[in-house]
Amino acid sequence: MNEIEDITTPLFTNDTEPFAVRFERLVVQISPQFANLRSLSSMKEMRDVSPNTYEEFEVWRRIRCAVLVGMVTRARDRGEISTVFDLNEMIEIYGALHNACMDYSIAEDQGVPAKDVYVAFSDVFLNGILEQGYSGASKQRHTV
Amino acid sequence: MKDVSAQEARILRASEGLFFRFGFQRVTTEQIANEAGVSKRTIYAFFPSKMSIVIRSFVSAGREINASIAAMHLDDPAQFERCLRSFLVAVANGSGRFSAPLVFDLTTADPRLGARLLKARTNFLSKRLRMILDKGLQHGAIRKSMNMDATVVVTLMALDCLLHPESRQALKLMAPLPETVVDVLLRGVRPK
Repeated sequence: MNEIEDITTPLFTNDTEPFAVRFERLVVQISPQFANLRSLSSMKEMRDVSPNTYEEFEVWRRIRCAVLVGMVTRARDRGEISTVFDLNEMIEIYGALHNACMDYSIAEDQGVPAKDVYVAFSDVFLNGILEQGYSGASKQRHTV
Repeated sequence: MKDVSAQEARILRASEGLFFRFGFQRVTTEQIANEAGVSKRTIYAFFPSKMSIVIRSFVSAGREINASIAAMHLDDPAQFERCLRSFLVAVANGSGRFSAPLVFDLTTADPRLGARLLKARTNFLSKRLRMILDKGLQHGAIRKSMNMDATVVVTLMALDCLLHPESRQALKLMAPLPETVVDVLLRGVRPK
């Protein structure tokens, strides 16, 4: 947890660098540490064997999540993030996807290295799958 | 003579509902018969075992996905985004029938078969998503710089962790609307 804080605190608070740069670095840099803590098996074991430690970890996670929300909010205020999406929804999508990336087995089953999955995650989250200049795109939003 | 396919479909629907709620092991053939309004004998006429019902359910979900792909106009570049969106929603809807209790029971009742079924499902979805994305690349609708294999993994993860009904219930803040999830996946959060 200390290692993660050492890496994330400068990234969360140094607003002089663009959000996208810090975000990409965040995903790649903390993933190995986070994966050790947050893998499904380790979380289950922690919850079963030491519920107090698990609860402590959850409190820590929520605090770090609030710091992340701060970074995202400031980035949005500066126009680095789209205002189309609700902030809480964006954070929820980020959090759920980030946790899913921690499950190495899914990536391994598909023969994709875990690091590639993290990079693709930040790429998709920031830039989306569609090409920006794709002509059919703008007319077809909200058709789900 | 009763409509055989309608009976079979009723048994399948009833089983899926029960498996979703209670998992695989706790559901009995008798419960399925009651829920479907048929005799146990009728069930055995269509399905020799409970596991065969689950397998049929997986196959049926796959057929629905195939049917939704067949109905798409993937060769029309202007339709591409609509196609991709409808595929993502079809996968999310199809996955919704496989609950955590069912998946857990499958992997404990018959670990080898359970693992094979789940892997087959992931491979099935990966191949189809990859095929659609490749089509998008040809149309210039998909960003060329992306690692496609990893993008397929991330997209399928997003469907499971954000659009699956159970995952949506488990989310701590609020479950983002499916439209929002798909919008973020397709457009990203960076302003255009």
